[in-house]
Amino acid sequence: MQNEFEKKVRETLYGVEMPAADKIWQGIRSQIGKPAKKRRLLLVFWTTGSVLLLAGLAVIYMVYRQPASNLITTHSVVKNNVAATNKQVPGLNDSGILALGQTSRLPVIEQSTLDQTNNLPIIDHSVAGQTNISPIIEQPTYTSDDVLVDTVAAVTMAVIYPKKAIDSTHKPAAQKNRGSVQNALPQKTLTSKPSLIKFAAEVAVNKVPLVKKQTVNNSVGRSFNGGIISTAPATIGWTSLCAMLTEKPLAYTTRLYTQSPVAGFREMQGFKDLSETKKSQIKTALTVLPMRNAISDLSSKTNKKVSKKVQWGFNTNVGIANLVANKGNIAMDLQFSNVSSPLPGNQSATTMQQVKYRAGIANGIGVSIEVPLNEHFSMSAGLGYQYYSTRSLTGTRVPNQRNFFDSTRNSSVTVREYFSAANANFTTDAGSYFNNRFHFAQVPLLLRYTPVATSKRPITITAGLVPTLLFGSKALNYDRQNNVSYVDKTHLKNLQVLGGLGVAFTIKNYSSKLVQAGPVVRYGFGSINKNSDRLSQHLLFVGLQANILFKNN
Amino acid sequence: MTNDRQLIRGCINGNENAQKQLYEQFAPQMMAVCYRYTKSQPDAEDALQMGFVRVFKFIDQYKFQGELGAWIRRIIVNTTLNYLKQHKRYQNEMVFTGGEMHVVAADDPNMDLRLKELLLLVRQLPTGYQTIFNLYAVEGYSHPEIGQMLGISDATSRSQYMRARNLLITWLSNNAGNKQLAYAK
Repeated sequence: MQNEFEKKVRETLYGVEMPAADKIWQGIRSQIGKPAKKRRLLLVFWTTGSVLLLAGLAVIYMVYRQPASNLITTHSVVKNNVAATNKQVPGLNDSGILALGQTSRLPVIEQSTLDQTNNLPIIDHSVAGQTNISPIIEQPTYTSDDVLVDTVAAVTMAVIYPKKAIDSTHKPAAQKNRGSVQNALPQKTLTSKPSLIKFAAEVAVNKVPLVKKQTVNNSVGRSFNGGIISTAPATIGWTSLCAMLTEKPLAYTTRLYTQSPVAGFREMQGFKDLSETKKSQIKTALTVLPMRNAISDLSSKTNKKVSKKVQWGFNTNVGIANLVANKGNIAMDLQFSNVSSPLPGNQSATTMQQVKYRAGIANGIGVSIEVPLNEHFSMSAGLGYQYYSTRSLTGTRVPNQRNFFDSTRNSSVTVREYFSAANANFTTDAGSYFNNRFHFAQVPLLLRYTPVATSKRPITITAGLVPTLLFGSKALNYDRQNNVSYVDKTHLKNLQVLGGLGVAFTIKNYSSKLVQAGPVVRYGFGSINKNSDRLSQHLLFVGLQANILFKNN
Repeated sequence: MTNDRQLIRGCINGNENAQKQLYEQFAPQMMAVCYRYTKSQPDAEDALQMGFVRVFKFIDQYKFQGELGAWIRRIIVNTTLNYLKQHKRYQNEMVFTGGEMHVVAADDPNMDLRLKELLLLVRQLPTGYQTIFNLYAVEGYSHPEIGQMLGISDATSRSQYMRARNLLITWLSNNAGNKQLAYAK
């Protein structure tokens, strides 16, 4: 009888249909369009940036590897500087890298005619990133005369480091020991020059027709975020590079460039024929190069000698650690849970459960050895202990022994206590924060770069890999099949590889040791969980690191 | 199934037409699902919108096993549950007060399970009862699964369902004899 009632209810309600309002679809479209736009924009930016990086590297290498005499004839502006340098440097054989940083862009749509629809003002100033535009231009009409003016400001940085250039008979004056640059004899004289870092600023303006031909009646959707013509970074880099190589304080270039529309416009109704926009435009750009006499500065910094001896030191760090969920942009660290369903197909149903992490304390200590590679670069390897902790919000603690079966691993685990899931509001009502603790042994393998090795207080940039071995832990693992958390070491990966990046500022530079400290960031490349069914969680550490490096004179 | 495959591939590729076609195909049924779990039309619409956004976001995870409609329905149901949780729609309504439950006979010949009336009565249940009733009686989930989904015990789910069921049957029986029930939304 009970089943009869349920059967009737199901027959009556299961397949019911109701009309859905049109505004719901519009809302869905506005939400699902955004991530794609962002991704595409980033892709465009970084793709062009990478291409430029390689191009810049190649160009600088080709130009600077020429003999000095050729260089002088090629770049007359550099002539005097190089000539001065040439007294000490008979041949240049340098290379370099180029990095770009774009600061801002301002796309503006300029309408040449009055809007026929409502006679509104003719200019639409829409800034990138803006999600809504003024109601006053909700129904503009664009014609082939309308243009997009894209104003871009950018900063370009080039690092050029000469490899070999000195008269072998030259006898450098003795210098005071500083940092990893030593002057103790006997030593190998590399006769290398320091790096040259150049910055250039640029303002560029693109003017692009919005549509090629017929009038397009456009209704601007609420997803409008400003249109951007995408290849500006490449053109900026080229302008700045030209200026750097010619050492001109001001460079004005005109050249052909290729453009492509990005999602911002495609999303707008009425702009489907944007693909008909002209692909090539003449672009003008103005570059300001502030470091005019940079090359001449090089000559005053020649004749450095680098000790090749291995040095060693101590390091320690303190900071905060957290587990970063890698499941897309799910708000509030919600994760998805699979629950089997008796419905046709027996597929997993998707539901969200609650896991919320907060940062915990982290610290570590270690020893390292450092092998100088050249004046600026050194390789460091070490051995250390690292403690990471995080806090996870749980529900009620249940101090009962219980067996949990994990169907994804086809295994079960017996625990002495477990915790229910946190409540929906992520408050500590009927719950608390559990302190997850991880103990790692680690072998940091780092590349250290000191841009100005001759400085009294050198700054060192460190980047590399930190392989770690988990040898102890007490951490909760969220079991989404059972919607509980419990300590289960078998779910944790023993081996982790973290990427590390840091900057160290010199605190004290003694003749026998160098004391440095600065911020450091480490991030786990892989999930800390073995089981892919569990939430993908990556270790993140942000803190301060201090090093003492003993100079081996 | 072939049409479904083309539709899904289109959605994965971000084809707006495919997305709209999928939406138009399933929106009416899913709107009714959301409507059944919520108390107001705006809530139902918000839940439907969130649900379809999630459907399009994770459509690449559909493995073509089972009906597409059932897969979408599960996402919509779970999204609606989360919507209710996030908006505190049934805070303090999921409390199990204990006591013995008696199954009320549902074979009353006067009992009328007309759609509009039943829909109205289900929506008049307290939100906790309403959710569990929908999950068990309409969607076909078991009590352990409902317990997992809502973070309550099996027993709580079972008892809440019995209360909801008894309440509904009582209302239906009363209404069968007394047609004064206002069918307004």
